[in-house]
Amino acid sequence: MQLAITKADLQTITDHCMKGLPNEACGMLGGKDGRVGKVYCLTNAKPGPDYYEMDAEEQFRVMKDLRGQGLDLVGLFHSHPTGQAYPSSVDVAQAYWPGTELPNYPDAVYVIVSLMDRTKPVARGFSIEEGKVNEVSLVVIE
Amino acid sequence: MADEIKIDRTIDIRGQVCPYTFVRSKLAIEKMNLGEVLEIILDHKPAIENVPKSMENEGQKVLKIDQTAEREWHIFVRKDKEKKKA
Amino acid sequence: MEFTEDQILRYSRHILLPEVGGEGQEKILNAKVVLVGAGGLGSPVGYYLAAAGVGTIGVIDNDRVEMSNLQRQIAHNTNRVGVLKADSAKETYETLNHDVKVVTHKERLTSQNIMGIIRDYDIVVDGSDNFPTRYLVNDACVMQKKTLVSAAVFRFEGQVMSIFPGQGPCYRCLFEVPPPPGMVPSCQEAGILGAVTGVIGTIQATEVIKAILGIGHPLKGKLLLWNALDMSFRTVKVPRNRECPVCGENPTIRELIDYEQFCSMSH
Repeated sequence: MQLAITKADLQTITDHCMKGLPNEACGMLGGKDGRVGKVYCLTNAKPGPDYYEMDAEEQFRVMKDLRGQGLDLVGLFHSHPTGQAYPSSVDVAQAYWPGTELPNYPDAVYVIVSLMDRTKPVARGFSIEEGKVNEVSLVVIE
Repeated sequence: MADEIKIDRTIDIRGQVCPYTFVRSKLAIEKMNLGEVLEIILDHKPAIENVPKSMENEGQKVLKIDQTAEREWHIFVRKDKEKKKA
Repeated sequence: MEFTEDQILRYSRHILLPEVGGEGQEKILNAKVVLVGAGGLGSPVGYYLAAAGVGTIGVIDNDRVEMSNLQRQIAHNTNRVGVLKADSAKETYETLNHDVKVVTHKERLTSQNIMGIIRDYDIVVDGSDNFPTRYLVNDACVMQKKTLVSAAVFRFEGQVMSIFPGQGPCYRCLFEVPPPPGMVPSCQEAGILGAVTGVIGTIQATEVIKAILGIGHPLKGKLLLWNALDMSFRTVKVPRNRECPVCGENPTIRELIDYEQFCSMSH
């Protein structure tokens, strides 16, 4: 499995993450067939250097916009200001769990941007489902 | 007088001060059965207010407080509440 | 139970609490808790459990006290550099409270010895803070249905979770397999603020005492997160994974695993 993204979109993501420092930043990715088409930069509703929560209202508006544009939710992104580009225990606990009341994004790729080196942000993608974390390659195109 | 109340156990803790007055009273009443009455003999004035208050806070019933001498009090407490067994 | 005069004085502040009383104190004195590691997290856990009067405290550690430990491992001190940590902890805790018996287990935990060691205890506290041990302890506790209070610290952050096998999620429900090496930070490289281990370890101790007494709400199915820099305390729900390989409906892990150590055990 892989997620394709343009250099420009990846830059948008990274810029939003840098702007969010020292706290985590977050957003959603719309697209189709494993390719990112639109980046939505969201507000961190509960900002912390090691925590994020997407605002419910904003999520709702994004989903509405996706539907209107005929796009799917292909991914979610957030930053780790001082951590590695790998899901933390919190990330795993809050990702998709069938049968719970958590957000329903089973096929979303979790893109995590590490800002440990502020001059060289690192972005990686993962699928997270019920305790299983698998890396998904991010293919930068064009 | 106190002879209307049937006493099941008496502890004489004259000489004790707060908070040990309540600590010892509590330990004594823990070992008793529901409905039984504990008589506590004290000579520490602050305890006369604190012990009844703490006992009632834990659901026990203070029946009577007698002052039998210038520095001697008897408190009669009935065990109305028991901690749930885990 | 009849308390001695010393015990009435020593535990008076516990006995006063409606949720504890003499009955609760008796439970604490009869409890048997084992600490995995007598380091940064183990030190405050053991200290407060000893203060509380936990009758038997096991300490599993076969490292020696080093100078670099003393910034946070408060069960030890300058005079004990070079001494085995388990022995040092024993001296500290038994001196604080003569009611406490510390049993030392001066060995490295492996799949071969852990079952035998934890069998005699009611509650296990994981202060090892390294992945191979975390999984080993988790699996062993699930298999023996022992309550486990697990924590991790890093730089200025810490997290705690209490595992009640069969009633709530275990560590594998959250992370089925250990993350690949290099993907998770290690205390050694990243550093840790000493007081952070104190707070987190003490939180572990309170979870243990609550479990002994059966009071309050345990961190069952909850991950408590603390960031010392912005002083945020958050709780994240941890779902129980019905298909968890060790505590799920159809467990696939039936034997303990010794994952390879990819970093030093010192913490």
